[in-house]
Amino acid sequence: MSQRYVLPALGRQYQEARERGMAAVMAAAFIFLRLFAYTFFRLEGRAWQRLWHNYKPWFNHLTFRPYQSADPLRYSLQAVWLIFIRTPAKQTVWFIAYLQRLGATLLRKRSYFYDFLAHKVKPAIAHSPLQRTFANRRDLFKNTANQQLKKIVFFLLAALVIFLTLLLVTQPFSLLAQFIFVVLLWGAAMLVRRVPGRFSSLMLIVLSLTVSARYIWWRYTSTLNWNNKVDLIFGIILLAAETYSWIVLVMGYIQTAWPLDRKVASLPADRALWPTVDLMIPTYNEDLSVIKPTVYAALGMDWPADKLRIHLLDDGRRDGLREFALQAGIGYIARTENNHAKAGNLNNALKETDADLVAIFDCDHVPSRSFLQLTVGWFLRDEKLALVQTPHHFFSADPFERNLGHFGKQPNENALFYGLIQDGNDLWNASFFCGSCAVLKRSAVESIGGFAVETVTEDAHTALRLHREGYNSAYLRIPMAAGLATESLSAHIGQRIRWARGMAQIFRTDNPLFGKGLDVFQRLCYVNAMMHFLAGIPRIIYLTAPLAFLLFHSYIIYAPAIAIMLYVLPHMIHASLTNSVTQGAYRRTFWGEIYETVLSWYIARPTTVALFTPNKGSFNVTAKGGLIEHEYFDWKMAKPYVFLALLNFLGLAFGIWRLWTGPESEQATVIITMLWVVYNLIILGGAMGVAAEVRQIRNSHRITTSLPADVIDESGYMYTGLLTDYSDAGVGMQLSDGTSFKKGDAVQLILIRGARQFSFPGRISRSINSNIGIHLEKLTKQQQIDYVQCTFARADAWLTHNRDFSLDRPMQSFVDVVLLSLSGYQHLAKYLPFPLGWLIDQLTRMGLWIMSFLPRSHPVIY
Amino acid sequence: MQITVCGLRGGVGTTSIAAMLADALNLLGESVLLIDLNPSDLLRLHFNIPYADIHGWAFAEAEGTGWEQQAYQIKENLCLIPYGRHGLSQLYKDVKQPDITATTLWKVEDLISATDYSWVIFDIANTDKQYASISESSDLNLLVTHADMASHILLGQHYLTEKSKIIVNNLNIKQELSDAVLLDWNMRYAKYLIPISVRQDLHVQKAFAHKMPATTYFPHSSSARDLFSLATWCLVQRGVLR
Repeated sequence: MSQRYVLPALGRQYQEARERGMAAVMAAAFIFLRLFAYTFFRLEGRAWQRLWHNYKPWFNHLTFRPYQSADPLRYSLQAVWLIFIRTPAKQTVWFIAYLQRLGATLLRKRSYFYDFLAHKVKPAIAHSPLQRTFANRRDLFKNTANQQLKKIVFFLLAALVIFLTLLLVTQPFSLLAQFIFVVLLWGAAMLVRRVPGRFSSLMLIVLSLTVSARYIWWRYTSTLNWNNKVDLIFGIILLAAETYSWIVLVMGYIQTAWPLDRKVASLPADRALWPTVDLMIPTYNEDLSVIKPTVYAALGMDWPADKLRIHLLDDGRRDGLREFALQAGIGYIARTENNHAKAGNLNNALKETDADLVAIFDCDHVPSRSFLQLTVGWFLRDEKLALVQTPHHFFSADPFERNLGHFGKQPNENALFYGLIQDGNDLWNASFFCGSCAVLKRSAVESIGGFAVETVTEDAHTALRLHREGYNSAYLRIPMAAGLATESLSAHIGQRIRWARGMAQIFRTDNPLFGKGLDVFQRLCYVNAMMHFLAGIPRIIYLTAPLAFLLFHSYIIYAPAIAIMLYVLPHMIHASLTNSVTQGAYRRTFWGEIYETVLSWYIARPTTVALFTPNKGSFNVTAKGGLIEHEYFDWKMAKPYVFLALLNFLGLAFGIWRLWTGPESEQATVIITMLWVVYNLIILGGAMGVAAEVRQIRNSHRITTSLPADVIDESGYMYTGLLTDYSDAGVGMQLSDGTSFKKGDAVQLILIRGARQFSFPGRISRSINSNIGIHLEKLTKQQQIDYVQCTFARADAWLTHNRDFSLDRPMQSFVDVVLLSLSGYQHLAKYLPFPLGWLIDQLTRMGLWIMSFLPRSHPVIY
Repeated sequence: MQITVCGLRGGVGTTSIAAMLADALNLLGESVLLIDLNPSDLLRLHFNIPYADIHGWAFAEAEGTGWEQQAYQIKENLCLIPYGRHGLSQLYKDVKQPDITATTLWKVEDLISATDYSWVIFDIANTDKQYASISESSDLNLLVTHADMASHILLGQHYLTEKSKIIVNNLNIKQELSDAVLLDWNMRYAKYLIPISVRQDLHVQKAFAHKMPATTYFPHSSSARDLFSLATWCLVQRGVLR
């Protein structure tokens, strides 16, 4: 009797297994294993079912793909992980939450303590950016240090802190003492890590500074081998690179310790008081199709019409543009020569216009309608304000995002600068001009003789001069304009080379450390911005330094292996932990390494050259809006990294040889150095992964969204739906019910802007179930303007761009980087000659296979 | 809540708006009593009542049988009292005109408290003084218009009270003139203009051909969606008024 039920059931299961893509043998094995499990456990029982229901998400990465032979082990590992690591970790989280609640009740009861934490811990400047005192920070210092007593207490405390810090940093510890010290600090960091608020990040910064300062002190005082010249030379080179990184780390902490998070300043109700604005759109050789949306969006900006003048600044002197400007009813300014590129173009336009404020948009940055209303308020509040900068947002994927496939899921390369660094700069009144999406005060710019023309990064230099003249700057972290990201990796790198060269030029010709007008923090912020671009050579040193030991047997860090571990690891761990907390929302842990590595080789030379001969170099226009037709490995770009990777592989081989033959006392050092090489290989693999250019399918970039929209068919029936994406050529819609539109049907698309609705003629370009694509056709000029204003230029268009970002988890991030790296090597393997390519392919396969056993600490979501 | 739906002029779709609004409110979970005060007696045809059925309150008044017996339950919590075939049909020429001015008959407050409906909606043919007392006792007087020149002029001549709310029906988005008129009204009648317009959509006609309101028959059509917005707006007004 049981056979009658069992056999068909088995057959069904077999069918299901086959449908999930398993081969016959594998499916049979799968069912056999299942039966095996059923023999011993009552898996259909309530308790088992509930368990499975609760923990199913953690097995998604196994259940959602065909069964593989090693899966029982994977299931077991995941289960062990859940039972012994994940669950206790969860309990710690609960415990911390409990502690937090306890703390909160205590705080409520002790209101004075609460007040202290809430109001007194903040730096005085962060108190209220709305206060007029902020306008001139010199007054602020006077105000805060008013009372003699306060001053004395402050200096005494500062002296004490400096003394204690020096003691802490310079005190030599025995290895055991150092071990206890770093464990204690690490424990403290782990405790405060999850505490919300800025206190925890400040605490982490202090801990990290302590550990890192000790590290660098230790490096200088006890790790250089003065007896051997080769060791010394290699050692000093590495130490110089490390010193550079240390300075950048410390300055970065100061720069981003307290992002100002400036709010919008409201405008007066009386519009007569609103200033006049010249909106300038500089262009050189960009296509009209790129410029059009920007101009149309500018035309719809919410600002009194008699106070807004839009100008197209054409350095290409094209008749087509002149005609277009005339038709659109905007100004057209061209000059006879092209001296000083964009800066010269803007300076020329300054002479021909006269409004109070100047708003600047690159011709591919489409501004939102609210831009002026949200930015101009600050000019009325602060007379010395010369600049309000807003973020550059990109609606297309940059080469990193496209090639790594994480567009819209993770913060991009820009996010750190516009999300955190500029906001941090703003606290120190040092946020700077970025060339576009900004408003400047004409009188201020004219007082410094117009936009700076001496360097290829006229924007940062202009801001520097404004700050030197005692003007203030402001940064508003609301994306109110969006544009195209660079189209290919080579173009992206080209743009960065320009920035790097320009920054190096400023560093030489108008060094922010010297000269008049800046306060110490402004100097620091500027120097850090420039130092950032000098990262090329230090990065290359890191990528090759371990080879000095493995290949040439040179003791670059002249210390026992255990000491190296006890000093290096805490330094790195604290830096990553702190950065994960302070910058995690804007840059994933370890991704910065990839970005920096990709750029390092290419910016190393131009920055060095610019440092020595600052007056060379020309302005190159960044190419945008292109189409990559074939998937390809950007071999030319990746070459240096392939070379470095091969060197590191060689180092690895030498390491194995040294382990085999070398003295036993050296083995620990060899292993540590080999780990370093492996890390380098991972990062280099990541860089190569970026070099594999993914094909771009669409010519016009689609922006995903979710807006109400309607469509009218030819006979007059109107259907509601949701606008799912848009581009300058058409839209995608999801209709509320499964109405059948045929491809090619003529329709009217209805979009809403405020209280008004607009219709746009189009044709159905695709229709699958209730999802349709509409290709817009023959829009009149007015309709084109309306279309841009209903889509790209909406006030809320870019506000939710980070909605789908996941949280930063350092370990997860590391796994991602390793996976990326392996895929990079796989791409490389296709281009290498037979034995090498095959070998690397097999190795990466093995790497991926080993990685597949890693248990997941968070459910994978498909 | 008591609402009158009244056309600024003929042919602006007053009856369809009344039918769809009642239906939308009902679909949003409200209990609604819909009363047709329009002698054309079209409202019933939005709710699948046979054309040949001549019952209605005016008919009953003329017959002297009392209007209380004339309600139709359309679905749960949605009732309709038609006007009745009166004054139009040749057959009933001899039936005397009911004393419509004696609206005290209705004693609307009593009606509401007796029936316990949370919404009573009157479909009124035009802005005649005939139903002034009903308009006065109502919480909202929806004034249905088109965004066109005739309505623009009529609206200028119309006396708007605190309770008057202008709703634009059949808005043709493709027409620049309608857009301009609406922009003008946004300034001119800011206090009275409902921020939702019902857009021109053939679904309304087609649903009527099926003797159903578009809100039920084509719930995903744009006009139905607009009516749901309007119903929601009415719900909000109830909150505001209380």
